[in-house]
Amino acid sequence: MPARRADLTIIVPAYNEENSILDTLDSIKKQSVKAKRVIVVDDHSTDKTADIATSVGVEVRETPTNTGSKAGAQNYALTKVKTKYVMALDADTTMDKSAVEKLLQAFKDENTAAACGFVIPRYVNTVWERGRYIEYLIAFTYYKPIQEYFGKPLISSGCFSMYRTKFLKESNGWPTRTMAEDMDLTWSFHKKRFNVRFIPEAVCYPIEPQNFSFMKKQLIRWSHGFVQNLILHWRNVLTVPYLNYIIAVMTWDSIIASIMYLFLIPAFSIIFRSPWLLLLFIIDAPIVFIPVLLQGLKRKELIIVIISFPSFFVLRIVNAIFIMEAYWSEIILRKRLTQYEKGH
Amino acid sequence: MNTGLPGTGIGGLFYMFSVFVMIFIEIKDIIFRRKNGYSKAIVLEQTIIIFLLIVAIYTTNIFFSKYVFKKPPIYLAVNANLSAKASYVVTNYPILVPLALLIIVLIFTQALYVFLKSSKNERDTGVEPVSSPWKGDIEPLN
Repeated sequence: MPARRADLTIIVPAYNEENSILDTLDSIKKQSVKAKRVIVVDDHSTDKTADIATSVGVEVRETPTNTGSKAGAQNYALTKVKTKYVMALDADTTMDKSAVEKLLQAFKDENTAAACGFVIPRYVNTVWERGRYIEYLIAFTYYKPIQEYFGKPLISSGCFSMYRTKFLKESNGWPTRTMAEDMDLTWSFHKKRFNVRFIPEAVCYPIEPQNFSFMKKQLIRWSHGFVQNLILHWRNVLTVPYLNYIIAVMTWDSIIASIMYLFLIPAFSIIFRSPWLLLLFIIDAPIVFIPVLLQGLKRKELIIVIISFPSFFVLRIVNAIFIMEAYWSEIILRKRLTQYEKGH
Repeated sequence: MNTGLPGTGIGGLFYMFSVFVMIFIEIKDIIFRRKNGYSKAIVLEQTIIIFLLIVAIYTTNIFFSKYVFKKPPIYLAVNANLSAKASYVVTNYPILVPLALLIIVLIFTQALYVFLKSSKNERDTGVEPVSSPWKGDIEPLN
């Protein structure tokens, strides 16, 4: 039976991904609906990324010089895209067999500009991977479906998203003006009243940071990216119903909760000599656990969920440190982060 | 709370209220026999989640008021001044604090939207806007 083929190009930006790119290309090959074209963009890797991709027969394009960012590498390939749809897939991310097919369903509506899916860490071993696993389960089980209902998914994940090529090119591709190009692009699409969809049945598995050094680089990027997008978009997103509330609440939480975790809770427990107050660090544990438990049951990963749950609170404190640093650096010191550092 | 970012306080409550709005929309459309194109599966799943969340919040409330903040005697609540009564309510229903904060944040957001909208209307009529402190630092939006 001939394979079903979509008018789709998959772009895989890669910089030193020799350890993971084969798995990514393998998952592309096994899709129930194949792409017309797959382009690996080698952003001047210093390892064997390009050789490995070429050895499995995939088209490899090397950027003229290192672009310094994932968005830069993707934009280089975008100039060569002639298909109706284009997908960006990280070189350390694999997909479920029907992921492409499921995402394509979202584009039956002509106004859909982007579609993203459910993200689950591929490996769940270290405390950092476990913390990220719980974070994703909460976000993609609780928050994102609600955002989807109101037509306002906050971010079409950069590691795994499909776009209508025409709209993406009209927006000049992936913006390189912030550290979080996926957030920037999604908010721009919402501002233009395009549809952005979240399709939970389309699942991908990125490799998440396994150690603190890698996690630190990613959190610095994400935190600075959020604050940069806030500064850039705040006037425009205020005019987008429901998205304005999501971002306002998120901003409040990222500032106030961070101040609470890092300063107020420790200070109050010392001042009032009440160790009970330290329970405030985990006061929401039952609430956080509910969506995570339900998704764990659905995915038959209950044991992994229970073992990983405490790691979420460790990662949350670390998140608080980096988001506070981002606000301080970007807004108070007016020092923009412009150096993109992937980490591995 | 969102992926990669801290905070749970009002974020979780905001999404809970969003689910109440979803349920209201679905019931309204069932009554008026309208097809709204929204996913019923999402509504059902989220309804189950927030039902369990409400149980969890209630249980957490009881634990904190009984064992951490120590529920004050009933006579104090009845005969006390405003400050003592407020303290009684907050320690027995700590959820009211993030709830109040959520309402303030949403009202502030809406007010800012109205203000910006009227500023935009002034710009359209030729009135010079206040120059942005970020002008020149960041490329303009598309």
